[in-house]
Amino acid sequence: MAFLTSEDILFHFFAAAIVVSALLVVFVSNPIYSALFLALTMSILSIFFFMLHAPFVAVAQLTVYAGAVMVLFIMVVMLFDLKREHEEVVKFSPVMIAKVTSAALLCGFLIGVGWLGVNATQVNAATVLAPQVEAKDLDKSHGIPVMGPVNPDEDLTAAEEANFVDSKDQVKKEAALEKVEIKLPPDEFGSTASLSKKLFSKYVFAFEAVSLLLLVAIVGSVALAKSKGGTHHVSR
Amino acid sequence: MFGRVTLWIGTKEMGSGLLEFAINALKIVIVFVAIVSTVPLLVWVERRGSAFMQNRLGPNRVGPLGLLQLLADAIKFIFKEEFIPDHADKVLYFMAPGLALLPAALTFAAVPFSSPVTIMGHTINMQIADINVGIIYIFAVASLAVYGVLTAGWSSGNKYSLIGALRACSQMISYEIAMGLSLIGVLIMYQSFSLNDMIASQIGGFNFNWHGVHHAFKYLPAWGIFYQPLSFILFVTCGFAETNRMPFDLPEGEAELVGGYHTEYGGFKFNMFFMGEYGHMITSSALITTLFFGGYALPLISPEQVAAFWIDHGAGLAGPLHLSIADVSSLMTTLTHLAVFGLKTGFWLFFYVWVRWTLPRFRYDQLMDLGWKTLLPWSLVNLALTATVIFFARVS
Repeated sequence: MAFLTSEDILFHFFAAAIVVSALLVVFVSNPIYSALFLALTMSILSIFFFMLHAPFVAVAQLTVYAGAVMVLFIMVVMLFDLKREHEEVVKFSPVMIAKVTSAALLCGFLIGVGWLGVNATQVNAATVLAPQVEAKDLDKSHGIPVMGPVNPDEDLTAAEEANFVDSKDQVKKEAALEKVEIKLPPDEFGSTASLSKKLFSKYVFAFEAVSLLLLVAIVGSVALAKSKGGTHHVSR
Repeated sequence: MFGRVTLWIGTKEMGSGLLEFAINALKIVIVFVAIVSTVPLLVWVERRGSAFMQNRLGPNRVGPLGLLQLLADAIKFIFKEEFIPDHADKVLYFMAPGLALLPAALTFAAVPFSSPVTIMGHTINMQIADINVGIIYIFAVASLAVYGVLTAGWSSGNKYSLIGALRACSQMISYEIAMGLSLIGVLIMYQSFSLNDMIASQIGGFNFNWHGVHHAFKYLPAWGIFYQPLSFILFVTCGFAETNRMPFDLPEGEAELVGGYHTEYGGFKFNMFFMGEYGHMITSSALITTLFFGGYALPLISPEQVAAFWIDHGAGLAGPLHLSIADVSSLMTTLTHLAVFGLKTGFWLFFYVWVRWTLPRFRYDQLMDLGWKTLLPWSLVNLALTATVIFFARVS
């Protein structure tokens, strides 16, 4: 770790924090804590956007998700009788067996899909990349196929050279490290101006369509709440 | 934001990086301590001010003018018995005061409180973090203040606390919307989210272009309030609601809610809610100053003119301080601007106190009506008006 910047330190710290808090969202039994950890996860996510030079997305994430959506969630959860909810989960009943079974099926499905996905990537890599690599390496190493770059003097990029692992070439490696420049994105990248230009020119139709969708949802919920009885049937 | 605190380990830039890191850390500590220690002073102003307005004396026994009353209060808060209700959720009960104080302290990070100072080749920004979306950052972090209130109300295990928390929460969320919308006109005017840019465009005299003709006024500063008077009124009104201050202090109500969300809190934990509220007041006063009253800059006098003044008149300080004349001028300019910022913000803080002891409080449904049916439509009107006027003013 010869090249550890404060951004790296912050990244690893927040990465660990976000993983822990995201896991706690699932594993904590109290729904209030669960919701609070979800809010924490959202807040840390916005820190990542800051570090990725997208300040507008970061503050939007913070305002919309942590500041508004999760607050409404928590307000609703707070009005529940949490003890009864807890018993409902812990109590042994046919409904509970159905819940556990469906949860297990969902997990199995997700794992299965994930496994298939990994396999597909490997197959792709084998069929698409392998012939090129072999041809290139066969050419360079007189018929003996080898993996990875063989000759450090050939035209590699500075970053590839930095990854080249060879204990004898320590000096060269350090020289390569000095050549590695961390390229920061241009100033306008992720800025509000560039974002809004795209949003209100290229994607204006999609943008307006989404706002219309939200409007429909709001009007719909008001209509539902206003209709007689709403979601709860009240006899009048 | 993080690019500015980059600390290189194991490279030759280590020295300068560490210096920058140290300066940033120092700034954070100083600003936090300044905010926290302004709170007791504000409480004093509030109590003496209210007494003055009601033809009473107020606290005048402890120390000169009763100034040490705040110290006595602090000692009382610290030594009070720590009490935890039986039904409380212990973890959240202890966490809530911190959650209430944290956003109040964090929002000030984006506020520039003076012009940058250049001393011995180092330029130090008088602002903790120069974020180019400063104003939205403040809104985003301020919106997190709801969590302190909500967790306090729920974890106390008291129905008054819970209802008070829900009330405070819906009030804060409702007024946040009107507040954000009221500022969009201002943002269109300044064409920037950065508070530094806003201050820069408020320097000098009131001027505008109308159909290609430039109009300039000599004795009227180019302050935001003259460009956006409606937005100013809406913003200040929403500010009162956001800080849960008097005409809108519905979360507390002795007759119906006892103490609201902090009913079950006493001692220093109660004090932290208190400091959170005053912290929001300080940030909101600083924002009013920055958005509508030219920030740290003097009216009609540019920072360059202030610097030139100190080059002429600050020569006597260069010797005793062991600094060059340029450094002294920069330092004195920064201090002048700091004083100007303090005065402007101080006035708005006093305004908060003033209004509290002048206006009667609203009823809860009146509060919601005002937020949703009056302030929100008017901020939309302001937005439409600003956009139209700017569009037509550009036609030459």
